[in-house]
Amino acid sequence: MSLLNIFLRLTKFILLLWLTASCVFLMSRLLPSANAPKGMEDADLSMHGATNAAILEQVRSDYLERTGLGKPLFYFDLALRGHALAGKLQATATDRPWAEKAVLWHGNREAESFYSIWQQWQLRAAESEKRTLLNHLLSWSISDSPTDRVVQEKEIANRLRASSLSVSSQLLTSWQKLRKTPSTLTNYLPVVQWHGSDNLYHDWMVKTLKGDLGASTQDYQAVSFKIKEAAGVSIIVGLVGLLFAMVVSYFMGLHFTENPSSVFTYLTQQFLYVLDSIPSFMIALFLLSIFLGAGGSIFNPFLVDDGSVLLDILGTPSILLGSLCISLLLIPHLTLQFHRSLVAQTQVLYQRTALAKGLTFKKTLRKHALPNALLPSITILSEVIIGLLAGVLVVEITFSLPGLGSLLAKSILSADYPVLVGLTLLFLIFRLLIVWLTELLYGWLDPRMRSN
Amino acid sequence: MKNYCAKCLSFIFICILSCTSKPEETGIRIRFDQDPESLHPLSYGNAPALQILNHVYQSLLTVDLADKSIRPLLAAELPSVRKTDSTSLFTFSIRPEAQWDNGSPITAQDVAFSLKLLHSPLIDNERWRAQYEFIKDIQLSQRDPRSFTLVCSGYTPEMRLMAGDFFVLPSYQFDPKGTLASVSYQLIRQKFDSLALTPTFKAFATIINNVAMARDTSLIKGSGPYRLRKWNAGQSITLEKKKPWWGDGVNPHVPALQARPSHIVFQIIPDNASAILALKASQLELMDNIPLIPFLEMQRERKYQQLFNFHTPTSYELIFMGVNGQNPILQDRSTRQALAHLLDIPQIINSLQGGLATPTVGFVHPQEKEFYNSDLPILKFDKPKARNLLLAAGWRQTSTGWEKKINGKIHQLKLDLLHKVGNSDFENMSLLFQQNAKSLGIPVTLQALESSQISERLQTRKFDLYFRTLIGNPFSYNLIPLLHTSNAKNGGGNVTSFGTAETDLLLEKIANEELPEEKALLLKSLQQKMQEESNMIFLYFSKNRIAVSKQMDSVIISGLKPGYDVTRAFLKK
Repeated sequence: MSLLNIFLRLTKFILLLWLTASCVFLMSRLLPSANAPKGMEDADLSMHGATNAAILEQVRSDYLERTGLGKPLFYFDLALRGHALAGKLQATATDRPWAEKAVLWHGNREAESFYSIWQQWQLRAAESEKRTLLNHLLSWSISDSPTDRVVQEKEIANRLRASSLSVSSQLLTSWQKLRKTPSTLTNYLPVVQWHGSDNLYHDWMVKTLKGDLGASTQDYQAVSFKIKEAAGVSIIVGLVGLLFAMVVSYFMGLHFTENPSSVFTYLTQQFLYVLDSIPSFMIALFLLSIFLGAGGSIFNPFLVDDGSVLLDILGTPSILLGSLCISLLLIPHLTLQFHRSLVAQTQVLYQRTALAKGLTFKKTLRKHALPNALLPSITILSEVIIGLLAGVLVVEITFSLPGLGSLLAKSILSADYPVLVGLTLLFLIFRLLIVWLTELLYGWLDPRMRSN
Repeated sequence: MKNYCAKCLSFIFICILSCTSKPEETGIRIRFDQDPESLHPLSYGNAPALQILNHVYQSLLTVDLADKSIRPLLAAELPSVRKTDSTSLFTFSIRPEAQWDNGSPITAQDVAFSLKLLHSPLIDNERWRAQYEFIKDIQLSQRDPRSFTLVCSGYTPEMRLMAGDFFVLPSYQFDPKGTLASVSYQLIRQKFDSLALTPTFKAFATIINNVAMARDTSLIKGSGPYRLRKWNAGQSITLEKKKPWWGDGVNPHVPALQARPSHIVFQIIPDNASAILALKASQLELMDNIPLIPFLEMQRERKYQQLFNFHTPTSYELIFMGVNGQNPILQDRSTRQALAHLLDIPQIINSLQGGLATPTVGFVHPQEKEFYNSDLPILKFDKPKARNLLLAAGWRQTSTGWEKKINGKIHQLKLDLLHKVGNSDFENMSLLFQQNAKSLGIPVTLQALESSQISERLQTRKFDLYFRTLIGNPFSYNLIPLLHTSNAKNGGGNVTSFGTAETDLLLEKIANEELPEEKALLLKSLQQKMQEESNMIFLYFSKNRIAVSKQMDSVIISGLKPGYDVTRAFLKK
């Protein structure tokens, strides 16, 4: 492995990492609940303590200002030229939808004059008139087809004609002028709006490069701490389960190969196939039910409070049960694959030579076939380890283990995006690390790889 | 070899079993379906968190779950109300026995501090700023440090509960440096934006927006009867009764201040199946929101009938279908009424809820007999009537479906139905509706979306129909935020664009009416109008399914959240 090779690999790795994290961040910002203050998304669902639209609007805009979420998302923005021009109109939030469309469809100048007369009209018109005209303008702006639009325009003109104010006639003439002015095609061209470095993405990137993953939106806890805690649980459960599964599958695989025709081998193999096909939640629930039925209790809060010693943690029933469950999920896959690989090795010619030399079958198995059979297991193990890091969600939910899987699920459901981005980064880094280690290990163990 | 494996497995099993030791003290074990995540009194995020906070902190007024009445908790008695033309004044006096954990008495200053905290800049209190916007000022009494008056803008009868609904928080714990003590409440309200830029508030905000406030058991302390003893993240929360507690010594005895259990343990079991297993193994004393089929099965089996009492209190969660009144094809009232007749409420309740739901005609619970309009009919699937209504609205049935000319353009009657993903009740209801609509020739497309996506679609009015749950209550009928036309613009609560000038007037009258008889007439009229307009088609109030162990006595089961009250319960020996 030359230095250049390693350097290129490292660069590719870092680039991939940055790209994925950026994508997750940008997508999370585009989702709906990202920009709403906590507990206020469902303004229409509670009869107690609800407030009117004006206060909600005020509070929401204060929230955007406080958290800095009102800033643009990325360094630049692609917008239609018409929309960019409409920004100069500085219309109020309620008027912006139709004002933008007016600029887009009929040009800047006419829209501007119409808007200024509109503002004057607003000061004098009655509340109900204002509301109906605004509704018409809004439905005009969202009309899909030109015929719809013409109909709406005529309706607005009629309303203005029927109004008794003097300003209304001015507004009417401006409106008719607006209707007649065709839009310039250049208004539809996309234009790049440059926002500079004062945007959300830049802030986030600078912070992440410094190592600060931010704080969770749920309880202000540092994301790295949360992930560390959850990773601890996942690692313990996964490791114990994996070790146990490896030991059992090793011995079982050997036993199957050494006694291929015994009844025990046959029965156990069938049992393993069945175990592999049963959905994981059924295995977990089954374990829980026999454990609870046998009188055990995994919900015991009155144990020694400060049990942070490793042995104490390992002794918690829920962790042991979780590990057992994970082992049961892994054993069929590992055993059957190992067994098949061993059988394949016993049919290769060097095995016959070894037997001819005078070694017993068992000895040839352990000395010659085993090392060759273990190689594919390394790949399988690396896959399994990567999968285990995400935590087996079913096991975590059934046994109430606060591991990485349930942290991921919770952060998605409660829109806790800092944690989500952090977890994504962790999984990606870990996965790439394991794959890289596996390749190194292969290269070291298998002399055939070295010469490549 | 097989002996070895078998011995290994059984050894491990025995190992696991032996790890469990007998609990030293008995406590009431209740199931939670999710971890509270944060016990911060301002920025908590879910219902379990609120339930625990209600044991740790207290507010001035509380609701007695048994008879749904408003009772004084920290206040010595219900506030005296005085109305002027534009404001209303609520005068409270705090109980003389009330004190914090460090022995200092609870005074009006603490209430003022709590209010200031609800409105301070740079803190996660947006929803409180919106909810308590009506409290304009707090006036402390000069003579009595426990007495104060809240000045509220306008008056609605629901303010009688809302003015005393917020948690009273200890300033010595939340604001040790006394930052807020020097700033008056009015100043915070008026100079919100400029105070957000001051360094004192920035420093204060870092103290409040702190993980310690949300997770540290030593900082989650209030005047309530329980203290947070242990929080195993994701697994269990233990509350321990304070000994001594000021509420025990209040004479004469106040039921709202009673707290009998010495320990309450909340087991966090996210999986319903595991929770039912734990319940059946008698590892839980109380479980609510039990899934329908296991609940019905347990109710039928003698073994569990001997172990548990099963309750199905009717809750205030109202399932309804919303119709977008702004959509041109749904603008005509008759069209919406026709859609209402495609719902079969008795069938839905019997087949999907096992009969465990209370059908309703409006937003008033049938239990509130004086306000419920029993003259209105419950909706049943009525195909001929729906067809007649569509024809009356101007729709014509053609070979391609129903068509209508609106504003010179031909529109087809095709609808989109949104509902929350993962909820099998909503899924099945949507399928039933789709089936009924199909028999009439109306194609309905179902879209299962996540909650926040549905919220966004509703806020931007990009929807046709949706199924959702409205959380009602028996206290306030101030429906202006939900039904007034002024709140029909984007961002407001009136997402179905319900309302005319007439209903607006009706809503304003209801919001201000205090006399029950008058209010009953107005509410019945509103229910009738709502059924005529059919922007919101109400289906049923769901029933909570609760199992309580027979070992536990004196549990109060109620329709109000959380559905049970264990503060007066005790375990039989």
